[in-house]
Amino acid sequence: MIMTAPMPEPTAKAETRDRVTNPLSGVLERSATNPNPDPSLRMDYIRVSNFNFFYNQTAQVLFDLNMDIPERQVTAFIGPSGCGKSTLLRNINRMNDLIDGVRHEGDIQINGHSIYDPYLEVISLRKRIGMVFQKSNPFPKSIYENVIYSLRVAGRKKKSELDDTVERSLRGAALWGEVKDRLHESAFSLSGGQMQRLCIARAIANRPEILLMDEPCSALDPIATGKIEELIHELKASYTIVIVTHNMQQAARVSDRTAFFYLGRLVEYDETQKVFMNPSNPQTEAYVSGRFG
Amino acid sequence: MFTSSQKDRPPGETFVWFTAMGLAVGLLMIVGLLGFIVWRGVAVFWPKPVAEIRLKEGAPTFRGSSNVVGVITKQQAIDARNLSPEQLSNPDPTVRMEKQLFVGNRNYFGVSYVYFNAGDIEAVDYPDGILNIERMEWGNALVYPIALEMKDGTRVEASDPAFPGRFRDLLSEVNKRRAAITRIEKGKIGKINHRMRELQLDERYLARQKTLTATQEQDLKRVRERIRELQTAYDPLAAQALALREQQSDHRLLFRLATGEERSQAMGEFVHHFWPNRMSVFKKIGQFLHHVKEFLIAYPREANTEGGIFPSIFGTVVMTLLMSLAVTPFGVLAAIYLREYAKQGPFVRAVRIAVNNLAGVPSIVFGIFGLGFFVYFMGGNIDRIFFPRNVELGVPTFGTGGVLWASLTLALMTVPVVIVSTEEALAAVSRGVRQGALACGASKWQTIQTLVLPASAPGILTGLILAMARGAGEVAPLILVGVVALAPSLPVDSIFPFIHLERKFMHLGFHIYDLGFQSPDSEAAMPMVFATTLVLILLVVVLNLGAILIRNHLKRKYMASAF
Amino acid sequence: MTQNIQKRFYHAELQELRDHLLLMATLAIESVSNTIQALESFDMDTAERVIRDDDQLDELEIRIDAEATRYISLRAPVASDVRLVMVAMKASHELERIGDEATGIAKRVMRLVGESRFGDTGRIKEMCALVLAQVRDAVRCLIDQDAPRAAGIPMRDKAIDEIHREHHTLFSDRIMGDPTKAGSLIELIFISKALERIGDHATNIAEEIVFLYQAEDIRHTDRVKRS
Repeated sequence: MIMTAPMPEPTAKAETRDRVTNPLSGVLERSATNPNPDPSLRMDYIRVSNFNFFYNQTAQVLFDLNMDIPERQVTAFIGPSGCGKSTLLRNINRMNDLIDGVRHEGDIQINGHSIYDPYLEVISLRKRIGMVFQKSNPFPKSIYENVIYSLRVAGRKKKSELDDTVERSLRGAALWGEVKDRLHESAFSLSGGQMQRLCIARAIANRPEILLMDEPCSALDPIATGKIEELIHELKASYTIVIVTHNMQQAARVSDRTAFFYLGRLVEYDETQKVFMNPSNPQTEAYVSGRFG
Repeated sequence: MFTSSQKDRPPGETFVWFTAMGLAVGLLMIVGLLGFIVWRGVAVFWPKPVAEIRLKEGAPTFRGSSNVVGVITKQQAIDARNLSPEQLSNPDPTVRMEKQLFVGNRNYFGVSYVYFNAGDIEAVDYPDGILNIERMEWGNALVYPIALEMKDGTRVEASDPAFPGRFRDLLSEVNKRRAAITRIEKGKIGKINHRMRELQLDERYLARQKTLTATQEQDLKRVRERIRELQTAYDPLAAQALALREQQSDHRLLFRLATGEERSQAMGEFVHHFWPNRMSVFKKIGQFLHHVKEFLIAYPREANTEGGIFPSIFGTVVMTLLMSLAVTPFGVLAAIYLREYAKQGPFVRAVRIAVNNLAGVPSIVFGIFGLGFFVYFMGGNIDRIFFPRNVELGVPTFGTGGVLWASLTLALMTVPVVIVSTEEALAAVSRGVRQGALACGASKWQTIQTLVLPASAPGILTGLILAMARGAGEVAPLILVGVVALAPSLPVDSIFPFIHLERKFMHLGFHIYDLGFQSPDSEAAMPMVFATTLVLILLVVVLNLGAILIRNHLKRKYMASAF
Repeated sequence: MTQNIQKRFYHAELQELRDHLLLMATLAIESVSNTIQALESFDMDTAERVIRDDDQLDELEIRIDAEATRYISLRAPVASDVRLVMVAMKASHELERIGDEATGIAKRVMRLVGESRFGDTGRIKEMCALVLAQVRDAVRCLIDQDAPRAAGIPMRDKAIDEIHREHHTLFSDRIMGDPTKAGSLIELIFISKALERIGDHATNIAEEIVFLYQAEDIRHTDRVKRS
């Protein structure tokens, strides 16, 4: 084996020189709109294939959906009321199984594995996916117990592990500073925005891979909404996030990819900036410009 | 511009008045009922003065005497049909009144209460020399003490200033000895008797067999030996008790009745005393509290017309607790299944309707069901399987009424209430909480156990409170499944296994019925009836308060449900 | 595909913005047309009119900018709406510059009126026709929403630039031949320059039109590279 001498590092030196003499060097290389996503991440982390969904066995609400949701990015589902975006979202962690008489055709795969595999225990699927609901639903327990609920039902008891999880999750949800002195007070003593952030902390406590958010800010004031959008922006470094929203500006602000649904069909699914700057489909154009829905 | 007219009044104001009136009427009825019971019940314990009445010349005498001593209990107008024409035309209204007197001394006079025409009364006096003695038998004695006759022959005259003190000391000595006797007889001898009874049953059973196997022969020999052993243990104890009993008769009290006769009685037959006409208010309060205490913790005497009601209280509490223990898991689990797991269809709806209707079934029907199913069927089978010896001998253990079957019967009666309120409480837990739990990866049971049940606990306790209130008050079914007027022992005592589920027990509700309608002297029993009713109401209130306190504590802890 | 496309109350503001832009474009065409006419017939009155009418163009530019800024702030437009607003702002600037150049030509005409006719004005006439046609075309494409046709305009501008280069050489040589005519010849050079600038502005407008209707930014690409 030929040993090569270690490469000198002229580029580093040049950069240093540049940085000293030219403060604007590298400005064009860096970009806020394209923070260089890791090419090793799967673009089809969640894959929806030929997915049809029925209520009461016959009433079809989702028609032949095909989409690939990439890993560690924020994907937004937008569309008018009743277009099926929430239905699809709730299928990803099989929450729709709780409704009687539902039926599906097609498949949804996460990281290559079908979620409808008969050998897959639904509970273990839901442990890997965190969900935040439109109306925040903290449990009638203390803040501490709320956050570690998923750990408790998984049987983990070690106090040090639980304490660490509480701190990590609350920090992750940008709530730690506000509640660290009252962890054992009831969760209902928090404000609306704080409760929703508590629900987010609870959703990420078990380190899920995917975070599903169903209109998480629709019941919150602009400041709380802003905090949560900030949070989503930070969380996407570690979690794959799918967010349903009927607030177009919110979709435009937080998401990397946007899917527009109408009457149960996927009308357009593309990078967010394409959807909002120059959508291919005139229906999408009409919807994002606020001309219907 | 802002003047109001008739048209501006909010519509429906008059109906607000109606609702307020309805509430007021309800409250008045409750307050009135409770007040009446409290008044009559509490009055029983207040020590009353004893009067000496001198009857007029020519008026009908009482046992040949014109002097009567007693407590004036009632004063009422004579029923018009019993009035003679002279009484009717008499301008003096007192001739149409009569007084009822409690004369006590039932063993001497034969009656406790006597009526006297008010017109026949010459004078009423309250001499302070009268002594009111509570006795083991024959109720109270209202007498003039003459002297104490001690065993060694000395006398303490009633006029002696040391008499009251001496009498009191002797009485407390007698009471202590009586307690010692009870400890020996009920305690030690009771244990021996219990074991003896079992062994005798064994002996009888073995003796009845036509042929005995070798082991049975051995058993019989051993049993007879054990009986002899116990007999030898019994004898000294019995002798001890007998000696104490004899000591009770060491001293006697000589006294005079109002009618003039002189009598005497052994001190050992006395339980309590007070001087009714000599007492200051403090003393009276002391007597009052003493009576209340005795009423609550003493055992009954004289076919339940005297003494205390402790066994009834105990029996009611034990039965109510057992009933609650039975109904809660059964009702709650049934409600959880109905609400959470069962597929909501016509069958589940039918079940729910059936459960609701069960609440309307008359309680006596439950009693008959309890008799047929629990007592005869289940009890009979248990006896057949576990107590064959007793079946052979015709001594039913579980095949007859007992505290277990009574509790189960009442549990069955109150289970609809628990199921309905539990279902309501479960339904009140919001879907959002359940969905959140499932999204966290909890299984359905984990959701129920960790979130839904704790949040429903206040509602479930409400159901339990209602069930307890209903169960504690029912009497009719209990008569069939295990309540008796006088039980030989308590369902819980110090003999292994400490809780005896097959024993019959006493119950406050039944006690009231028994006193009011089955006792030989209903006038004498009336005060006890009111006092017992008061205790029953207070008991139910206390049980409910306990449950309410627990519920409030839980509500504060979980504040999520609508209850 | 039927859908209930509803017009919101504020979409009228967008229509108004568009109308103002088209009005400004029409006025700009008129300005160029008039100034060319004044140049060709040495008509003082027409020249004065051009100078006067420039005020309207200035006002419209301010008005369009204000409306556009307001619309962005209050209505958060996206997609074609935001492109329209941006194009309105940029095109109004180009149109205002066209107006300024036309005014400049008119002023030079008024200065030249006293002088004798030029005699040989080179290819000014031809240039005028091309420029006017180009401006008209650009505005037509705006009205007709014809992006492909607008994409062809930048190429045509090359011819106009070529003519100006010719004029530059031609008139510079003439000045060296007859220095007494320098004054008017310099004016002619400036007039040629102004016409060439009008052509450039029209080209810019054409590029904006392509961006507006095709969401494609063709500026500085090889398709439009001028020399």
